[in-house]
Order: sequence, then structure tokens, then C-alpha cells
Amino acid sequence: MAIHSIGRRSMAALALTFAGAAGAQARPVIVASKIDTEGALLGNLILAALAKANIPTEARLSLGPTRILRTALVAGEIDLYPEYTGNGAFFFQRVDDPAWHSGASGYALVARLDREANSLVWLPRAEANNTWAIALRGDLARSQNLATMEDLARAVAAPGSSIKLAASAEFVESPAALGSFERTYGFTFPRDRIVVLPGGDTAVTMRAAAQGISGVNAAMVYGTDGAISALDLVVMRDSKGAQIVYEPAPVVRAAVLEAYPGIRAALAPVFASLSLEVLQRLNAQIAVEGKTAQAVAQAHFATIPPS
Amino acid sequence: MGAVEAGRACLALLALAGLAAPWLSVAPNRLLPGTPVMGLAALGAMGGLAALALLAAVPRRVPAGLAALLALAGVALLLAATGQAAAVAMADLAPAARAGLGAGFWLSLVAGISLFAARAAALPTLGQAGLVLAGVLLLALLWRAGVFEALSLLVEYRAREDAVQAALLRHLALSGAALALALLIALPLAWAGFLRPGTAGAVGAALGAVQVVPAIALFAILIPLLAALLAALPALRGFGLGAIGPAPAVLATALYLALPLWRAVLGGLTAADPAAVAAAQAMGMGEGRITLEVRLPLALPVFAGGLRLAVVQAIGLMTLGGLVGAGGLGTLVFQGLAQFATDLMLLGALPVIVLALLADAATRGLEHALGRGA
Repeated sequence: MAIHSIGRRSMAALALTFAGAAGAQARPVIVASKIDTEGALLGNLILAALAKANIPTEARLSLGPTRILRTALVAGEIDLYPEYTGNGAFFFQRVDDPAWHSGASGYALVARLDREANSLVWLPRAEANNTWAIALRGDLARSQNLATMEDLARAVAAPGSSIKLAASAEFVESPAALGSFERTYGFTFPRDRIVVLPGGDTAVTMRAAAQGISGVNAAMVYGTDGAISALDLVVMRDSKGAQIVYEPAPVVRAAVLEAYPGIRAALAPVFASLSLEVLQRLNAQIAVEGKTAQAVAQAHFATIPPS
Repeated sequence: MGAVEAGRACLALLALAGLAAPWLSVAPNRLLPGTPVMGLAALGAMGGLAALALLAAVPRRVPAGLAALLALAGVALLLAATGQAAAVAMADLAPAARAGLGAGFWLSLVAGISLFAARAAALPTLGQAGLVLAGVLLLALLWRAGVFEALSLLVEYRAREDAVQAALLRHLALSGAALALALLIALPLAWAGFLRPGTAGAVGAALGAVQVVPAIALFAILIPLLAALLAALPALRGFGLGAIGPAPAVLATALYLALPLWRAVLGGLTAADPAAVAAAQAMGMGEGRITLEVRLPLALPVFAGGLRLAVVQAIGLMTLGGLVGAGGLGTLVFQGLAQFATDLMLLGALPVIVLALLADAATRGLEHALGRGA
């Protein structure tokens, strides 16, 4: 009886200690992501990695567009979500800074600015650039040996060129998009060989190129679009860095990272595993094959070697 | 041939026209456009049988009950044949292949259901209820038998069953909360407007101004406002209030619903014939009793009309909640938009349409019942 009561008292003391330790970090990490395909994929990868590291999470995936997530993170409504380095140009209204045109310097800049202004920490990024790009039909790219934007600029300028582009109005009119390509690679895409679509759907531009609708054989795309390889399109490499680089990285509130320092080591191998090709393939499994983001993320996570 | 009969003939012809249009779309995967398969080619003999059943439901000499049953059988046959045709089309294809529903299917379905509704309308309420029940049971039977499993819409559903069910319940809860909040805003304002007609102009202008703001803008603008409020009064977080999630969605929707509700309540309260009020006063009734026994019964049908508008609007508007992290069926719609997956969009949109139609039917019934009672 006496032993029993002592046991019970020490149990209570133990429970109190645990409650005290847990109290400091009682709130689980609120993980969010954007409402697009890649957002769902990255969000589920983050959840899988944090679960493996025994870090408690609350999922708020597919929460909304960039503006909603950014506002929510700065306000402390959410704790962590994957963002793109190049968006720092717009968050801090420094669009003209040349730093955004390389993955490493853009990452360093946005990490520094966000740390100072908002106490946000940018964790190691994936080196997969999800920026504007021009993709050609695979058969055309292979037969004419086209791989970079220099190649494309030459091919477009060649007499009798048959290259016809489908792009959104924004891509054609924005000096930061097609204009930047033209200035950097010294060519002009004849406007009568561009089919301008008012919306920005890359699915439409990609379909037009893949099916050769109205003679279109080139399409405006985003670098990690899942359908690129499924539709046999080839992205022309932006070797001179004409476009702002958009590489995904988890962004976390500094206070939350302090409470759960394990987040950094848990997520680093995940984002290191995401090359451009891998992201395209995983996005395609969701957008093209119709698998759920959760299933695709878990299958990929299982292939990542523990660091 | 009478005008009503001619109208029914038109519906049957529309259903037949659907059979001659692209019925299924067979695509190698979710993104590539499919090759269309025409209705009769896809459905074969069962499609012809369905067409005959629908045609037989048209003539006046066929009694309404039998005709409604025939139309119901026609629609059920169309559904069953469509599922079977999809299964046949998918049989030898890779798992990523999809069978989408084409324009012809939707045309025939809507025309067939309209024909059924037109014939059932002539029946007594009990007969109508029986037929609707039979229809629901038939659909459930086909569903349980796995007839629809090969359709792309079902493939999308099976991939995220729990999420769809949760989204549906959440959509209902959010819409209900918005309606309750809108009533909390509208009822006192309408009562004040009734007691002091001078205030009605200003309140009407304020609530009307909300309607001018595009819904998506109102949803978005509430987020920084709520965030500022929560920063000033962190205690509010204790009540589960957040700057993203359900709070902005419910609040924004409620602001839109306030106008029709306020207008209906105010209109209802002032609907009472002044002569009836004068008569009640002459009988020595006090203001309270007049409101309770004269104004309220006359107001209820008008009020039910406003409620109907508000309920349908709530269900539709709440779709935008998907953009502010509130969840609900809008999340599926916007995910579908982001992935260019039509069937995923439909998976969110179809329940919204069905919910809105059900809510409309239910509140319409309420309106009629109250109208008759008064």
C-alpha cells in the first residue's frame, strides 16, 4: 500500500515534469502550402519529414495563393510553408536587384532580408528553378539540336524559321519575362509568330505546342511543370540567367525553429533530393496521372536516404 | 399537341440530341485532351432503350405516374450504360487513362431529369416523394454495384474520398455559420428600420455597398483587417478566431447575406396591410400583440423568400472560402483549377450545385407552406 502510494506520487511528479517541458512547445508546427500542384507536393513532403523526426505538426495544406500564405506567415497564423526565392523580389520590392537572377545569391538575399525584417528563416532550398521558360516540341528540339535559349534565339532569327510560340499576355508584355529573354539573348521574337492567350494557363500553352494547334510548336512554361515531359516538350535552358530564379525552400518562423531545432535537419535532405527533373516527374504523377499529392510525396520520401 | 406536351417533346428531343453528341472522352491521361466517343456509339442498345423510354414519357395519353416512371427508367438506363461504356473503354488502357463525361451526357441528363420533373409535377405530393425516393434508391444501387467506377469523376473521388466528405460537411457548417451570423446582423437592423424608418436608407446603402465589392476582394481584404484586430486583442484567438481560415470566409459571406435578409425582414414587417393594423388597434390590441399576431404571420412568407435567396447565396459564395484557407468544397475546385483537372473541379462544383438546388427546394417549400398558412 505504501509502495503503491509512493509510486503514484512519483508518477504525478513525472507527469508534471513532462507537462512543464511540453508546455514551452505545446503548439504543433502549423505547416501550410500553396494551393497549386507543387504546393501540395512540397507540403506533404514536409509533413512526412517532420513526422519522421517526431516533430508534431498541424497541416493547413493548399491554404491559398502566395499573398494569403505570406500574410499568414508574417502574422504568425502559420509557422512554415515552402516559398520561392524569386518572390523575395516582390516581397521586398527589389525587382531590379541582379541577385535574384542566380539561385544562390537570390536565396542569400531573401534569407537575410526576411531574417532582419520578419524573423523568418529560409531553410536549405531545392535547386530546381520554377521560373518562366520557353519549351519546344521534343521532335523539333531534337531534330534541330536546340537546348539553350541561345540556340532558340538563333533558330528564331534564322530565315524561314517556323517556330511559333503560345504564351500568356503577361509573359509577352512584361519586360521581366519575354522582354528580358530578348534583351539578354539579343533577338526579337516576331509578334506575328506568337499566339497570345489572355489567361496564364501553362496547360493551355503546353497543349497547344504538344498538339501543334495553329502551327504552335513552342510554349511558355514554368520550369517544374509536371506536364512538360509527359507532353514531350523540352525546356530551353536560360544559361545567361535572363529570368529571376524561383527555387523552392521551406520558410519557418525563427521562434518555431528555436522550439523545434530538428526541423532544419529533417527538411534539408528532402529539399536536396528535389532536382528540376525530380520535381517535374513528381508534379506529373499528380497533375497527369492523377495520383494524390500525399501518395506521391510519401513514395518519394521513402526513397530519400537518411542524412 | 398542347403547349405543355410540345415542351415535353422538346425535352425528349434534347435528350436524343445529346445521344448524337460527344458522350465520353477517352484520354491517355488526366491532362491530354481525349478522343470523343459519340452517345449512341458509346451506349449501344441500352442507349436506344433509354431514348425509347424518354420518348414514351412525352404523350398526354400516357398517365403522369407511368410517364414519370418511364422518364426515371430512361435516365437510370443512361447512367448505367454510361458507366458500362466507360469501363469498356478503359479496359485495355494504362492506369493513367481517363474517361471523361462529354457535353452530350450532360445535355441528355439534364433534359431527362427535367422531363421526369415535368411529369412528376402533376402527381400528388406523396407520389412525388415516392418517385424521388425510387430515383435515389436506384442511383444508390447503381453506385453500390460499382457501375460508375471507371469514370474519371469517380477516379478523382476515390483518390480523396475522406477529403471530399470532410469538405462537404465543412461547406455546410461554414454556410450555416455565415447564415446565422448574417441573421444576427440583419434582424436587429431590420427591427430598428421598422421602428425608425429614417434609418432604413443609411443601412440599405451600407449593406448595398458591400454587394458592390467583388467577393474575392472582400475575402482577401478581411485577412489583414482580422490580423490587425487579433494583434490588438490577442485574447480573441482564445475563441478560435484567426485571420485566415473560417473567420474571414464566414464573415465575408455573412456581409453579403445581410442585405437580402435585412430587406426581406423589413419588407415582411411593413407588408401588413395598414387597414389590418388599424383594425387590430381598433380591437384594442397593443403594439406587441399586433406584431406577434398580425405583422409576423404576414411577414413570414416574405421573410422565407429572403431566406431562400440567402441560403442559396451562402452555399455558392462559400466556395471562395477555398482561397482563404477555410476549406469546404471550394478547395477542391481551386485544386482542380491549379492542376487543370476538370473532373476534380467538378468534384467540388457538382456538390455545390446539388446543395444549392436542395436548399432552394427546401426553402421554397417553407415559403409555400407559410404563404398558405397566412
